[in-house]
Amino acid sequence: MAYEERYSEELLIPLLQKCSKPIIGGVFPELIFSGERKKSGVLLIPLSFELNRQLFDLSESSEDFLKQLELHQKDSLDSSSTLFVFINALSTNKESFIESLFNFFGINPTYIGGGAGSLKFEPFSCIITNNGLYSNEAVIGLGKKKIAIGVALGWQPISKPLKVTKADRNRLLSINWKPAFEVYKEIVEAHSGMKFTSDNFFSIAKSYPLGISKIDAEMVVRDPFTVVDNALHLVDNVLQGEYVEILHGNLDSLLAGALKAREIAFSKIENYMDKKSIFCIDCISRVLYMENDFNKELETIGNDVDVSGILTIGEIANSEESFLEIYNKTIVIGLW
Amino acid sequence: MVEKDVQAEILLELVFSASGETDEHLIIKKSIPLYLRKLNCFQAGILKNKENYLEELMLIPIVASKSSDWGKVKSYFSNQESLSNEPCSQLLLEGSYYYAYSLNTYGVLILGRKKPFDITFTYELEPIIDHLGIILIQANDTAKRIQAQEDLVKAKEKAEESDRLKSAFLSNMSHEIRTPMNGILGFAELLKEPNLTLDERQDFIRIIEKSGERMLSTLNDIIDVSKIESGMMKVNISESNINKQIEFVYKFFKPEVESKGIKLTFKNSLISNEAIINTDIEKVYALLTNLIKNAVKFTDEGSIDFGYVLKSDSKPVELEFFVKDTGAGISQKLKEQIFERFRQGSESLDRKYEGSGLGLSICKSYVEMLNGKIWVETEERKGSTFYFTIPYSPVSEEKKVIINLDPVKSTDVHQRKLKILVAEDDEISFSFLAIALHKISKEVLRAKTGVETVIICRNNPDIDLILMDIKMPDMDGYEATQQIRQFNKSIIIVAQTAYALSGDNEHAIAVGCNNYLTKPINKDELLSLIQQYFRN
Repeated sequence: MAYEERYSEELLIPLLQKCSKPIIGGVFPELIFSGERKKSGVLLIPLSFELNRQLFDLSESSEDFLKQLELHQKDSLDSSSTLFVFINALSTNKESFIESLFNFFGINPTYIGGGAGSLKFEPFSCIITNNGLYSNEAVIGLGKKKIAIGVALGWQPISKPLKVTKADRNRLLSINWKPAFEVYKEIVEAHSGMKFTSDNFFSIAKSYPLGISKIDAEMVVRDPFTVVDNALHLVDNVLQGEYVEILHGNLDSLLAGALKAREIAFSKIENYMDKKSIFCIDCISRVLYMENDFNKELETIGNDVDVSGILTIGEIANSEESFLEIYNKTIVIGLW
Repeated sequence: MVEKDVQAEILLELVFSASGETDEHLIIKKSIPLYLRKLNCFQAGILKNKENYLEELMLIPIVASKSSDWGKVKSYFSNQESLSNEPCSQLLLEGSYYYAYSLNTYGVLILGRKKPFDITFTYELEPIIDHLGIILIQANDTAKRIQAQEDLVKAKEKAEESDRLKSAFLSNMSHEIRTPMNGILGFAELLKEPNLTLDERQDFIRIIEKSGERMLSTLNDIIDVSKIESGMMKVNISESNINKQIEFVYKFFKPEVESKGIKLTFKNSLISNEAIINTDIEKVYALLTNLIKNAVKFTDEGSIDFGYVLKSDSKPVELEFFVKDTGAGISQKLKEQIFERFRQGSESLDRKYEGSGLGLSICKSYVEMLNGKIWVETEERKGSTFYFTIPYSPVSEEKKVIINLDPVKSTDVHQRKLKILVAEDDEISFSFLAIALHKISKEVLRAKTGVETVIICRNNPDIDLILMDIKMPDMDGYEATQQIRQFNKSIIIVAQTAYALSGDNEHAIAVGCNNYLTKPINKDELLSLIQQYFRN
């Protein structure tokens, strides 16, 4: 469901509870329907396979998550499976939850999902199940059918690796033992030829996310959205001690990334899958960056197929061979 | 492949992943997920070196532990003779690449990937994982040292506790022996008074008897504990009718319990034919009497119920005995310790109830010897139910026929007068026996030494029975018995043994005694035993 003009809980809960089919989902900043952005409405996507659903309170510990998973999903060894994950994007414990999911399931399922919430970054009940709406929660649904996914970025590094010398969850306090914003500002201003002022941080920073490197895998992108006291505030967490690079992209590179994601997904397509419609999880910050040109991204991935999906605050996917991550500024294409 | 400088930074990040941590578990919890994430692995497991095998310490993801692939991977790397020639051992299985790196002497780290590592990277990773192993070894050593220190502190506390309990026990024992002694000596002194009425005299004698029984019970407990501790307490399995045992115990306790105004009931759950079992009936008897004695002691009103039920759903099938009272109950705190030695329901100096505090610890030892368990359910001021179990081992049908034949009853015995030799050096003991034997004897001879016993026996071939003391001057009862048996095989010899630590009873039978009685000798038991040998 899209954030704007969303149904109130009073209206929605009786409808959800009446529904005999299992439902999982969330309230997202925007939706994609018939290849177009939608700021309002509800997108219902039926699945041809059953989901083993489970709701998690994100205030609990990773040990608690594992215990609950052990209780409900202990026979989940099937590699031909898919795990849908919808999570409150504002939850401070979401990394721990995602890590627990991987520590339990490993690479057996294909993961797909994203962060729910609004761009106002205010807490509200944004996780949906048949029982109602939940706030600091995450919902998962394990289906015994494999889907094909493609994940891509379209961002390239413009700096050398920089050491995160002080970080507190999503607040990046210092880089290379200097105030984080000072280091970031110096590199970005030199590359862009623009100057940061008191009110233009995001308009420049949206083109310069940070990337966390991994061996033989796509970088994990972190999106800076504001600066407070020389600390960069990111959409998701970064660990102290990690190395990050400053990335840059333009419309062409992002569209190339989107096309790559589509190609990867189609390269894995199976006979039983619907070739005429694709599900897209795209980062809302890509939309904010591309603005009106975002339609070109939808056209690029749509081409001759129908595109529907969600615009999220953080994307959850794995490339079926590596550790599960929450990405930013990333596009995920799913086929089933 | 990422750029070399990024690769170097990632390796550096791994090096520092566990820095500052000294706890083995935390080091693993922090560093291994980072290895997975940064090295783009789908699986990681640690096998820790044990004496002659590798123990699986952790595995990510958890569900992988159920996969056959992991079993193969683990088995492959566990059987590798050495990991030292190459930076790591490798295995390609079902399209996945597995790398086993040595964690120094701590164990092995196994990493699973979908893509192979760059060959130079495998070399660069080796010292980093070795370093992680060293950190784990140090943490392990620290943990062991801390554990050893904690164990020492615990041992010291236990020793102090044991010392405290033993002091409390000695003080309690002193009280438990001195109090009945006071009764015995004090009232024996009073008995000398010339002007006592018959009732007064009977009262004094009853007090002396009670005091003697109490002291004997305490001494028996001490000796039982000593036997259990020294491993001399054996299990003697024989066929017994458990229903009859319960009925006997009921009849034994009924007068005492009813005299306190308490109701005593029992429950036998098996029909007589199924109640014949193989067990150590002496120990079952001791257990029941000990628990019922406690129930009587701690119950002032209400009832005491005891008996057993067959637990056919337990494996093995068991008999569950119970003794339920409506007495004082036990506090939850002391409930945990009640089966420990020297403990009682109350340990304070002003405790209301007498007793050595050994009874329940003896019960626990007995039950464990019989492969059962003992426990209590209790509530203060409402009462307690003690339970114990023993394996249910019924006797086969053919044997039951023999068992069910009642022995000849004492009423059938024709009581002829006997010529009896009492081998006893102690004056008081002889006097007691002479009086006790008065009704069934035509003549009582006395020998004060082993040598004298043999001579009297040789000179009086018509002696029917010898009551043989074991501890005598010149020659002990064993030697005397052996010498007598050389010229008289038929004479009945009953040994009087001390209820001591050595195997007096068994030894007495081995040298030729027909039976034995344990001192102090009970008059009824003595006469009952003699009747067994002199019935027509």
